[in-house]
Amino acid sequence: MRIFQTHIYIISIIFFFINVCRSEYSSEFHFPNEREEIIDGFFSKSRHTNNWAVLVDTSRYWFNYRHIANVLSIYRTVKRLGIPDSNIILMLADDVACNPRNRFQATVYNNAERKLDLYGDNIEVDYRGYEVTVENFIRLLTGRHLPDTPRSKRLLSDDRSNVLVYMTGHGGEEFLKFQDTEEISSYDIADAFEQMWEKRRYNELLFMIDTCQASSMFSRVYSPNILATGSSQTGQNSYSHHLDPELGVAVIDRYTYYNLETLEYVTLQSQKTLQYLFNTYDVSLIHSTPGVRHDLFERNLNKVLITDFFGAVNNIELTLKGYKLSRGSENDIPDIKQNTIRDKSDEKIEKINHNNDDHLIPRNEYKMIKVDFKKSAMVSPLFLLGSIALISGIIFISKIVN
Amino acid sequence: MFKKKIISISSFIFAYFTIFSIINVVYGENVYSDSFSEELTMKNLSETEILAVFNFTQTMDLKEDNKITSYYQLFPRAIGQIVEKYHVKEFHITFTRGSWNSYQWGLNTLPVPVGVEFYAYFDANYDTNENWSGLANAISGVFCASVNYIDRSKSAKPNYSFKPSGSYNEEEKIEMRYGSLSHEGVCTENLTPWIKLLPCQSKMGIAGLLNNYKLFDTNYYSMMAHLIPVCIDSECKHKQLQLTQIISTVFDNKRISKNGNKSWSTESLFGKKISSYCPVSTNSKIKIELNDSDGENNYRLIQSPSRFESSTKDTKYAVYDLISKRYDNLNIGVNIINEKNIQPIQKNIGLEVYRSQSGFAEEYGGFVVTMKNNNIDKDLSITYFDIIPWFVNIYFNSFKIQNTKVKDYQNDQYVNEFYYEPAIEHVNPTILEMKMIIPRDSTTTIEFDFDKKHLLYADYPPDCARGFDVGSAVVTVHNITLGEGYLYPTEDFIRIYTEPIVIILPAPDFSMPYNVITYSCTIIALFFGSMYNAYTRRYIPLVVEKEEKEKGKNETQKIPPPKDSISATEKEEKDKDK
Amino acid sequence: MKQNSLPPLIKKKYDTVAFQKFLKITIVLLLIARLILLNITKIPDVLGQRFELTTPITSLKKLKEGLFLFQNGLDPYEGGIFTQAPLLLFLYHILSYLPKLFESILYTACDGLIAYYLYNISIYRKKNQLSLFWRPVDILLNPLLVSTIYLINPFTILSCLSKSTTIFNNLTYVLAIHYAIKKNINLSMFFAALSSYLSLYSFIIIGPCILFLIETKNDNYQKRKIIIKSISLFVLYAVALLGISYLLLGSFKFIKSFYGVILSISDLTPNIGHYWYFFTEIFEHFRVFFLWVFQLHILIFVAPSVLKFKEQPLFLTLVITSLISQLKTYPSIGDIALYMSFIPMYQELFKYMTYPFYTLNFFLYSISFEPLMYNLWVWQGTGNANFLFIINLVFNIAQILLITDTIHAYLKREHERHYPEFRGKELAWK
Repeated sequence: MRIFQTHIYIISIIFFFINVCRSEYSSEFHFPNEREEIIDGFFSKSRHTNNWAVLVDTSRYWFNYRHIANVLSIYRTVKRLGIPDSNIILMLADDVACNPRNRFQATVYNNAERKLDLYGDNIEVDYRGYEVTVENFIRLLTGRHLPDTPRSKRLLSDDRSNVLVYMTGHGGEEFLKFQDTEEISSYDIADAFEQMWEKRRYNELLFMIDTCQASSMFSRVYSPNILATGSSQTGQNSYSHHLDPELGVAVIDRYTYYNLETLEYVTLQSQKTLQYLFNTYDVSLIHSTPGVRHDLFERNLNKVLITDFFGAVNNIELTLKGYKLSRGSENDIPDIKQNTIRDKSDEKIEKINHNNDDHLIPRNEYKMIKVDFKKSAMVSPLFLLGSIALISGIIFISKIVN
Repeated sequence: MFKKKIISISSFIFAYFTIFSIINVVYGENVYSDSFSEELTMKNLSETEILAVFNFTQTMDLKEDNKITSYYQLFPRAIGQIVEKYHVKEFHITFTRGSWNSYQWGLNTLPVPVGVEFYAYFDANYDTNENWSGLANAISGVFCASVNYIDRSKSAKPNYSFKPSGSYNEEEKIEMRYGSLSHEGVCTENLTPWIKLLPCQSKMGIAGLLNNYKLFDTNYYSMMAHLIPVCIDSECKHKQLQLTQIISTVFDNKRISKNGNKSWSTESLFGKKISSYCPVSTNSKIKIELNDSDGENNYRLIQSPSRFESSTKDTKYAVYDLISKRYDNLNIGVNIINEKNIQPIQKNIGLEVYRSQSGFAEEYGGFVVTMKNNNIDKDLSITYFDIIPWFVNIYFNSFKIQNTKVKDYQNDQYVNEFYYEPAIEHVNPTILEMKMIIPRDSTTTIEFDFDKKHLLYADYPPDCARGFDVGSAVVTVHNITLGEGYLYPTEDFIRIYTEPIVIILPAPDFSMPYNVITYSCTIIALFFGSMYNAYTRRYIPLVVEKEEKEKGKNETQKIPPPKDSISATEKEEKDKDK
Repeated sequence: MKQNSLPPLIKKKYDTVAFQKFLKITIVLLLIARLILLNITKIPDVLGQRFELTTPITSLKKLKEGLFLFQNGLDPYEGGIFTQAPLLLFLYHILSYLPKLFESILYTACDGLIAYYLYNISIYRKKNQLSLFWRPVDILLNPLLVSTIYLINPFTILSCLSKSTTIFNNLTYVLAIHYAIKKNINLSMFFAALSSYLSLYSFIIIGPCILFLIETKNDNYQKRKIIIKSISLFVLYAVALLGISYLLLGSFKFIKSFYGVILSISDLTPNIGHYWYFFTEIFEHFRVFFLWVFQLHILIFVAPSVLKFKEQPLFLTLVITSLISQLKTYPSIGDIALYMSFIPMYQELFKYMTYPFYTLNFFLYSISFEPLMYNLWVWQGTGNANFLFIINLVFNIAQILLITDTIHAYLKREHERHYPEFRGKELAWK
């Protein structure tokens, strides 16, 4: 009897707890007025919930080793600070790690002492070689991909993403060279960023660029919440830092090198701000004047953490209550399914790319023809009849006309 | 009394269920229907070159109607979902760098061309062309390679050169597509996702030896993934998908070994030691192939193996079974004492194939393919398959297929069939497939000419001075069975790949499109302007006033003066001129 | 016109009978030389690859490839390597059954025939010179000299030796004009249709042909009747030729493959024109626009030329031929040779030309540099495509200078003819 009673007690306590918990997590129970602010208060002050990084190297050939080292240094920093590979789009225009000219295969160093290999054993390059083109870059930023583009090649950011866009290569006034054949202008980048803003594909964007005359590249940007920094002003060149005599090429650029001097000491918990990073820029060391453009950025740079852009610091707060999120205000653009974007311009793009002309045989037929090497020409008898008819027709008409 | 019984029964039942669930949790591995097995085979190809072949096989049972289940256990979801979406029956992709030295190492039992080779079989009930391009794009995302460049302009549908490796029922209709990129590089970014397809990845098991720094410092490196359907039962009512991942690599011990001695071990080659086997694998073995003809004097094993297996009379394997015997920090290797008896894996079948380019300069050229049958006693029946891109124009009237022994070779008896698909600019490449018989102890030569085309500005790649690639040709030798030791499922044919070729095309100057446009338009405008002038304006005589002696043209618009204004002297002068 | 003050005709010393004999012997020797060179030596194989002499539309190498495909029962137009007229395929199919000598005989015969019909046209021109209308003239045309100049012109020799198929186009062109002069509407229109079948732009020749045909008619109604007859005959013959080609091949693919290539310049092999490089470098967006502009550019000159030179249809022929040869999309030296053969018929214009020596130098300079620059680009690799392109432009300038100078000379002479009292005076240009 006593055992039975204790059993009942236990079961009833379990039922009670279950009910309590269920009711606590039930969706009907919420504070109607302050839910958004409370939820926002849980996340970091910059309102972002996830981080993306787009790291682009635009130069090819072995002597541009340092550009790839630049990008890989930032890649390593960003990975170390928590952004996973699925949120990083890495574009390398050439393969230097496994290049036959590389004395140290499968490695990329950004320092002549070769203490730290940037390539590592866990790297995913999303766009490599010939795929690094202006068209692919703008498609990536705007999200207007051709169908069948795999997920790892898409920038699936939303309106709560902080995006870091880092570009390096050879550039000039208001342009950046892609693979020595084409160029992207500052207007293109500004328009791409504006499209991103209109589609709400970023919360805040840090655009960092290390080329000659870098500041001209972001001079045309006009969308809000964009912070931009470049390695030199218009009319100035950017320089490489040092070269490795065994590799035979320069291994890092000055601007990125001095950025890394600061970034290497940033940890996940670090509270260092971007203003601190920008204050460390020393013109006498970098040999060019880095530019910072913050007029479109609403927050004060003293309040922006480095890890807001370079890391993915997820604050996790445990709550006992549940909060229902509203669907968003009416001003927001409705959710666009990025996988199935097919507006008319996309079809036009597909046509230009896939050369949809009418060809002699239908494009998709694989028609293997069997060849017999014996001569078997068939001059159809109709043809002979036709030619005889033509000749007789000429003679006949000549009799009539003349 | 009755209540006590109920209480005791219920508590027994409760305890039974608890223990039962605990036992189920503990013996969790029996819940999987997916299986995984790993194997590493190592062998000396010459005194200083060591071949290592990793073989990871995963299987997943398919549902009743050969559909893929949505419950993924060990099998990688990335591959399964792609296969399901694009109605893929089987696919094969290989990434290779370096070249296989068939003189010294024998036949390559895992034949691959340089770069990326990719072919797949699809369910013919759906649109195969769309599925092929979709699959290429999806695979490029999985393996971080530019496989998406294999589109219609590089694909082919060969008839004889490839056969499906999986098992199919009669009513299944399948269609094949083939493509290759010979310029594609292989590096750590391809190895990383490849390892991530394995259930234990590189954390445990034999895959822990995969050290990219060492693997990419080798003479030959080839990484493959093959997905085929396999029958479970004899009537093939139930099938399973089998994903085989193979890495085949040849280490150069001359460069790697520190003291210069010829011994090697997994630590000296890979720089790592194996901690333990992968817990979900049913089979985890390392085999070292040894030559046994002279007894024990050739080698000394560092660790004693679990057992020895003999394959043929001359070779035996030292097998290290990682499951049955626990090794801690395993370092397996061989000290070589007598290196004279090292045999290649598989003797060459006596066919040497070369393909090269003839001619020079950038206007026209030719291909020469030489196939030499060294067998004295055997004729070889082969198929030659080649994809030549559309940027060269092949002249079919220049085709010469000759043989050193047979005078009139180009007839039905020897060249059985000749298929081709002509190239269309920007659309599809030239595809050649020839079936022929090479008589014993003779050389067959195929020669043909081509013209190098001039392409549009946009068709040239960024580094066009390097040239354009033509992928390796495939020579399939039929009716050959190999002996034991062939590392891939037994088939009755083998493939040999030729070298790739780089063709240099004449390129325009890329730096001045605007200049060209303006110069051409200037000439057209010059033509138009001169002709317009000639047509619309007319000559009128210029009257020189007697007082003034100006000789200006073009500004004075004088009407022709009356006839008596001409002096007689001028007229005489004119007559004299004539 | 004032006939009393006309100067007498001057017979220069090379109008003698001995000179005529000399010319006849030269013509025969030249033809025999062609026959020998075509048949025995390897010169045709070497010249047949030259980009100046052959284009994708006229190359014999590609024709042989198409013939091979045709003879093996395959579709010759499928690959994109054969982009020529189908009836040529039939012609060479017949030739392939005959011994090799017949091919050389065919080319020599074509050249000989062109020379013969040019001789006939020059006779007409000579009659024209003597007419009241064109006098005074100081040098009487020697028709045999025109033929000799045609045969001895290095451009014609090279073009003939390269065995390019421009020669058939030239032959039908000259035939069309010849029969138009002979007032044979039927044959003239047939050959005009055949010429435009072989090379698309020759259809413009119906302008001068119609002018020849209505030359002696005074009645407006008769003129209109002839015009309607000739245009309808032309269309009829063109359609018949296309129909026969369809019967030969079994499909209309050749229209897209042959005329499509001519119109859309999809084959970018270098030639002596400058369109190939232009359309290599043009951006995709503007390609169609510029194609239309360049094709219309040829058409817009037809009507003004006809209106301007309607009194002298032969000069109109010269202008139109020069127009076509310069502005066609795949020009070659054979086309240049064609219009250069009409220029000696207008010897009396030479003294009105303001810079003939300059033009000649331009020609010599550019034509001698063309093979060199191509060699530097394609064979040695030390040069650039720009080298060849610039020389193409210079060559085009040379041609423009030649034709403009000729037209100006004509205009000056016309002015003198109308106002003989101003002979020798300076002229102003309004």
